[in-house]
Amino acid sequence: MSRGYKTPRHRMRILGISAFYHDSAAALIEDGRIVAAAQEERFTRKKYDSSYPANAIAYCLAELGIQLADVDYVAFYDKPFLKFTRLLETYLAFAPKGFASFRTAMPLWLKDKLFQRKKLDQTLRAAAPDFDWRRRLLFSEHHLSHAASAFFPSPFDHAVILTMDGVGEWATTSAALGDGNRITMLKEIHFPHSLGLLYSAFTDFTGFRVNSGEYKVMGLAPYGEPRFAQVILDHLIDLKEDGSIRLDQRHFDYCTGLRMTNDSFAALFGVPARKPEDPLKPVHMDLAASIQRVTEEVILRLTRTLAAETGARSLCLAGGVALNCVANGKVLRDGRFTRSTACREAISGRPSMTTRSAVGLPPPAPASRGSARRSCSIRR
Amino acid sequence: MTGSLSESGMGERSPATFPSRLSKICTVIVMAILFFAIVTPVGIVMRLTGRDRLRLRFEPAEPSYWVPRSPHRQASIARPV
Repeated sequence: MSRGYKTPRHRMRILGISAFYHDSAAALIEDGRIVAAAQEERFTRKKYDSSYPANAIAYCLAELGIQLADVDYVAFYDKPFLKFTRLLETYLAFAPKGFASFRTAMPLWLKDKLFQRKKLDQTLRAAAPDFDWRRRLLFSEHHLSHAASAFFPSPFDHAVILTMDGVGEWATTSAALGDGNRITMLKEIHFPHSLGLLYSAFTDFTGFRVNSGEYKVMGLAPYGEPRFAQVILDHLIDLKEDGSIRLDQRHFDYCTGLRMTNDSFAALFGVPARKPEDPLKPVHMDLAASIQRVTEEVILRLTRTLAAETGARSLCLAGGVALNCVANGKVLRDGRFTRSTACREAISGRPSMTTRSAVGLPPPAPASRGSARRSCSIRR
Repeated sequence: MTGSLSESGMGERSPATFPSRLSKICTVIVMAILFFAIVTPVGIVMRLTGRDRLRLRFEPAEPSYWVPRSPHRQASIARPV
């Protein structure tokens, strides 16, 4: 190439999308740098808006002054088919129980959710008809997105990544190793055994909104006594030495019904579920203190085991449970890791922005990008 | 969750016209047939043959409930499954 002649440098742009579950959002990454990210609810003024984030996408593109056609890849934050198989397996495991949930969820899946790829494909094609979106549409895994959201923006080159949330496809807790621009999943705990859903069950039981009011339970905890912690450990969960858990589904309703807990759960604690408008009593504070204590114990066991197994000195925490800053403080003070970072679903609040080169993207399709054939090596 | 509000689309209400009511009734009937004529018998047979995909039982003898993920079973982001 002659001196003085500059070929325009190709910039790898990836648009991350989270949608159709809760808190839809979009994020735009250019050459590994997060350039824009937004949650759809900010534009529609509809809290927890779960629709296709058309406004958030438009905002992200406008921030960089580009069109959708200028994007190399669109990454969706999870794998809808895997989620569907998890739903089916759950119904198979409990039928004939579960019709209330089945008749509500299944029509939606059969009508819409099962065809998310097609729907996304059509929506993207409408905006940029010349692009082969089938080759440019990627599907991360829920926990891989979470893990990437904490590890890639972190200052660490090597770290163990612990993701804990309600549920994505199957995984509810996962451990992964982050190394440079790669993430390797090591092990998982699967649905319906979930620390996040356990915490959400108490959130619901104490009268707060699931997937939102968990922080209120955490805030309520220091006002109570953890007198139910042993009841939780004896009856609700089986906690292993390494922090892995199973939940006794006889006390929960989220697999088969439209509630989180059942009457058997209430009987364990001797009080009915609190309605949102009911006054807060000391027993609710004790329940909050108890689930907080158990959660901290589970997380400490998990992090101690991971520190011993991997020898890593850096820890990244991700997922909804990692928003429990009180528990995170305990992990920090436990001193197993010298450095740690807890990032929920990335800086703007969703996993979408991080579904990037975690498992190595293929080079962009040549049609639109000419000779640009760089593999995407995302670095912070 | 199998039945969260966000997965069920609750909260979106339209006027209950006769065709929409009829459509709802038809949906419930079809779902009932699917659930009780297919899902339930298949599920019962699976359980009778010892299948426990959700690993619902506690296992006191097991040291851990972690499910290992081998290097060959890492996520492929090109596929929706």
